[in-house]
Amino acid sequence: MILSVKAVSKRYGERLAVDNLSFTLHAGEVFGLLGPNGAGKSTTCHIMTGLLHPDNGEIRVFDESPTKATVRNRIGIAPQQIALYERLTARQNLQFFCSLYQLQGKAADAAIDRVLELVGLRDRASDAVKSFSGGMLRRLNLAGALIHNPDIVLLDEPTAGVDPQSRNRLFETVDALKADGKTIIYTTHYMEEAARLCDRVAIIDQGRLLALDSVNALLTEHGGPTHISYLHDGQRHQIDTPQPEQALASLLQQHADLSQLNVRAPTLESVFLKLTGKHLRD
Amino acid sequence: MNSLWSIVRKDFQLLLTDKVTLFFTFVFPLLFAGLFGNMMGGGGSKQIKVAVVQQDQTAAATAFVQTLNDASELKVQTMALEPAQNAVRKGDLTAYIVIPEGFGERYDAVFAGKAPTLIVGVDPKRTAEAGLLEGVLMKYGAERFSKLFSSNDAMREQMRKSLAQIQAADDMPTAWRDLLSDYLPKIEQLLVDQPAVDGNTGESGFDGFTPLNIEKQEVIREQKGPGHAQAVFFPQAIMWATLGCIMGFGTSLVQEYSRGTMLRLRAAPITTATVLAGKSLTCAVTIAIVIGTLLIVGRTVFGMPIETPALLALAITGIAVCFSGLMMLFAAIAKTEQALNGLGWAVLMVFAMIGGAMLPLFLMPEWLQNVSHFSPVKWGILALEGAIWRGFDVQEMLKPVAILLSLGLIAYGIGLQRIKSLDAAG
Repeated sequence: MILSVKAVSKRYGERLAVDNLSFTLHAGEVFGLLGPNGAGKSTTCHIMTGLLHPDNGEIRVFDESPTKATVRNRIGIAPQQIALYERLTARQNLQFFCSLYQLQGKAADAAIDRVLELVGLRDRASDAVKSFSGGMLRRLNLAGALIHNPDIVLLDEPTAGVDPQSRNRLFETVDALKADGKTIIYTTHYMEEAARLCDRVAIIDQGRLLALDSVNALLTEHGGPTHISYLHDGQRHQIDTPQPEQALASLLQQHADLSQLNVRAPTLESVFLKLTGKHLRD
Repeated sequence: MNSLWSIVRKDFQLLLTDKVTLFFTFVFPLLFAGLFGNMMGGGGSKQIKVAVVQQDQTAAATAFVQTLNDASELKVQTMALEPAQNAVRKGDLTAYIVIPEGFGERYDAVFAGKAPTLIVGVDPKRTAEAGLLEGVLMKYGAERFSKLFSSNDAMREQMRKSLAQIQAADDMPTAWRDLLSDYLPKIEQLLVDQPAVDGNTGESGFDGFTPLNIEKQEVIREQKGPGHAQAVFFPQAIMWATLGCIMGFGTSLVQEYSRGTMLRLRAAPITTATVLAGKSLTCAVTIAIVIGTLLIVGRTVFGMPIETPALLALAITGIAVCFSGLMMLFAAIAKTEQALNGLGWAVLMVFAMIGGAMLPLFLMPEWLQNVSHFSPVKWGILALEGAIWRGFDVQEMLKPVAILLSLGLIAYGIGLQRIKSLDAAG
């Protein structure tokens, strides 16, 4: 366990943004915070990184307070809002971030080259950031979070406003970071991203933790049955089953001439729908 | 400390890439001061303005006055003694020159051993201009020697006049009188026998003659107004530049929040106070650079006199600290760029209007001068004027500087606390 959140709450005026939240993170996992906009994901991230003080509860990172400089040196954050100086070049931005972590000279140059390579922007290092596309900005934003080679990387909605090419590049970067043993906290309201990248997913709504488990376990427990539909003898049939493999095998044995077979497995969207009664993008 | 310098360096990088802010910080104030200064008659003239009081009506005295009138270094007004003294006291003129009775008699008698006397009244604080004026007067006083020695006839006439004066002088030692009475007629005879020499350069080998005997009178100048239009407009332009500068940095601080970079900075192992101190330090240093640049241009291009340059450092420090602190306060109160622009300019315009950035302080009615005490712009202008033309000493300079420093530190403290509490609240 490298990060623990215990009974944390945070209120903005009348609104309870985070409500008695508790969970722990294990080293090397990709941990997803999935929820609609305004669910309290960013507030939770800010509390986890010591940027916000909770009204109640406790956060421990590497068994210390996240406000400690030694802890902050081990956390990298790519905020939801692009945190770059647009009139500076990509390299100047990263040089500045290096200096905040006391990285200088050749060590800084090496770190900059490493992260630019990782996010695929090495050939744009000398360009002013204002000339970058939305996807490139996201990738450079991520590079800024990785510049000091942190153990925990927090990516807050990293694919917001990103083109498919940059999105794939970001996914590859997350995979590479995971392979490198980094612990990643990934907030998103895109269920496909959470399903694609995360080892475990915490589903949050209105500041409350609704469920936390691996994607498969969540689907099994809360996703409902798989819907199988097909056409036979001129009529459409539908089967709802929690064991789709067995159901399909049996079906194909019974009806060799069926057509228009359609299998719709449960998704995190259906998990969220079941847990909250509403869709993720409502 | 390294993090602080990193933030300062980053903010300078951002400033240098912002052409609009650079224009309004450095170029616009120069145009303001230069344009208005020249419109109001500053003109950057290098001539020393003097009054000439001619009490001796001899031909020699009149000729000398004409010489001064023709002098390119001087701008001469002929007047009586009392108005001349008043003009110098009020700072309208740099000095008055009295040509007393007996000037012409001595001016003509080169060999009589007594230099003609001039009385020069000048403000003792204007040592540089007084020295310059003395040099100019000596130069034109010495011309009588070159005129004399370049013409045999003039020299012979001079010999005759001097001989007559020597013989009439009661206070000359007998030995000297006998020697000169014997010597001068022989020289005159030699000149009669000597053919005229063309192209005489005037270098006759005579040394030790004093062209003029200058008696100085001290005139303490009233501290009412500057003698140079740029001395009024440069402090005003400097304050406008300072206001533009703090609005630029205030906007950049608000943008750190609105564009998310502050969150990224706060996630790094540095404190909010360090981030804000870096921003304030960059702002203060930029203000100091702007003021220094404007003053150098004012001095070198427009010829604006600076009476006490050493005190400028105090004035610049006070202004830089005060207004960088105000920048912090405004940025802390306004959460968006629009709010900052509205709040900042509304407050700063009032400060500027009552503080003398539009109408010079010394032209304001007394009641408005009292109201202006509440404007930091007033204390900034006063500190600058104190060093530029008001002739402040250290004691006089300490008051506006202390007020500026206090205002700046209080504003910085309030701003810092507000930003910290906002950060904590999220």
